[in-house]
Amino acid sequence: MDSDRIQAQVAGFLAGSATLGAPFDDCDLQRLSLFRGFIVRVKHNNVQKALPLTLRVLAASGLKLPFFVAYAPTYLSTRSAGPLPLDRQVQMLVQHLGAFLHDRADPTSAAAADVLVHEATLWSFRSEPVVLRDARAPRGLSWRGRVAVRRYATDVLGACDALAARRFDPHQHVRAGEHSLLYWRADGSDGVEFFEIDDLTALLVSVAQRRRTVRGVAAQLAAMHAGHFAIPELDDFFDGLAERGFLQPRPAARTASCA
Amino acid sequence: MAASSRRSTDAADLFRSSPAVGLSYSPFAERIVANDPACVDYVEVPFEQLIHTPGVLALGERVPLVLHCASLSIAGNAPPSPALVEQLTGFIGSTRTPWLGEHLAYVRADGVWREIAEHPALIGPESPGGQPFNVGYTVSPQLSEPVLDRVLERVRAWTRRFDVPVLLENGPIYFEMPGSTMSQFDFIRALCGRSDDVRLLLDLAHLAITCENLHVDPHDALSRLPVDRVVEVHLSGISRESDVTWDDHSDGAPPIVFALLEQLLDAASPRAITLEYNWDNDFPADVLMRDCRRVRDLVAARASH
Repeated sequence: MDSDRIQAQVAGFLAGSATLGAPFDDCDLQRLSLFRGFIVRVKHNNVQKALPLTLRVLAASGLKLPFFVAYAPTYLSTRSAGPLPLDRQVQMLVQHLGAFLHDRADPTSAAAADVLVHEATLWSFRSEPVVLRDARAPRGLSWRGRVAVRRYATDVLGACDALAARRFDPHQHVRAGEHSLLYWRADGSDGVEFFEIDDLTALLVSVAQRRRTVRGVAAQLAAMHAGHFAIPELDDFFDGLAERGFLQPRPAARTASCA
Repeated sequence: MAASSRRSTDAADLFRSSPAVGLSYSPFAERIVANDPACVDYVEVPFEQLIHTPGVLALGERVPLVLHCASLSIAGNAPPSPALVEQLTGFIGSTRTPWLGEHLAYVRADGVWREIAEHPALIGPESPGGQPFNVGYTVSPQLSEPVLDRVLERVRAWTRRFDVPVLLENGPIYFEMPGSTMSQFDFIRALCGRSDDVRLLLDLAHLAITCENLHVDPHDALSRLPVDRVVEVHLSGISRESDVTWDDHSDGAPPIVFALLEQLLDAASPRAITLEYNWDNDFPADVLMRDCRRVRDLVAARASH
């Protein structure tokens, strides 16, 4: 059996070809698919810079190799055009791993998905260049940095603490728990912070990311059937955010009352 | 004596005395060298790392370097480009490595087999055979006479070309390549039998992995290898997933690997023992220190007899 041909067949498959051909059988195909996934996994060691705890939770949950086996054809196809910069590699991984975990629909996968979202959000915030905005008095609601709200179904911070300490145990650290985190990076700052927030704050901040006036926020809430919010209440809420540095201070004239 | 000359002399003395203990390069290794310089005697640096971050060479001002390679594709039919060989030659000189560790493996295979070359990105106009398939990872080859002849010829040629010994490292075997007519251990023994100049980098984790995947006793396998040819040893972790045993440089060496190291040290005197713990940027320092001490204790116990 010619060594050059056999080695070329294996190399072609490991580099991304869809099939192996004779004399390889289904058992060989399965074993080589595992090896191909293993190789792609090793090639993602550098993603530790962005998603270290995600990679650890996958390993602890027995999901790391199965994911990379499934992901390998897509990755290799994209990679064949040339090396991928880290940001692109992370972006692709987040997309496909998120879908993989979502399809599994078990508690451990849900916890892993939450860790992924948390780390991906932090990475996204940290990767952006520092922005310095115009300090002139804004009209309406103007954020003094980048903000995002994420909703979680599990105790993601508890899981992350355990992963960071290398003592994560799916039986202990996969815990259900609906909650929201607010992610914040102030303009001109490198640091990213995150806070646990209540449901109401999560709702109002999320809407305020899309609507630039208090009146607009109120209209959006009404359209969502999220309850009635009086304009003065909303003014107080957003003034509070301004006092804490999240929003630009608003003009002294408050929002006019609804007619 | 100039600093660079002193460093090369130190490295030469280092590898003549009892086995030196070193670490594979990673950002974690840099911190160890900076914070605990007595922990390691040398750092093994991958050639592929130096291509991307040549600044790593500066580590050589603080600790001797040993160069490792995974690009020559010694067992394959697609040789490295002249540019790659030139880069490698340059780094052999600038690291002052006492030897070059390379894998008993292939990384590239030509795309001449068009009927199975389905990936259009891998077929190029540059050569009649198309561009090689580049796995970008070492693959254990077909273990047969033609490959054995090729490996022997290449090791001799590269040794002459680079003017340093080229050590052959046993790769982990995850599947049996069709057409193989001998085991990896018989292949290595045959290589050493055909040439007194063949030298080995024995990766004990790879040996343990191969034996588990092929259901072979690792102690028996080790006893059949020409261990007098072993110059460097690699130790690393292993993991088990999907009913296969895999290489894992993000974990410390398991008991079986240390048991094999003891067996090896009872029968041979390698020059260097490398902890290949380089897949985790935050590898636990206490595990590294523990394993360094353990290796040094094993070496010292045999030196006192």
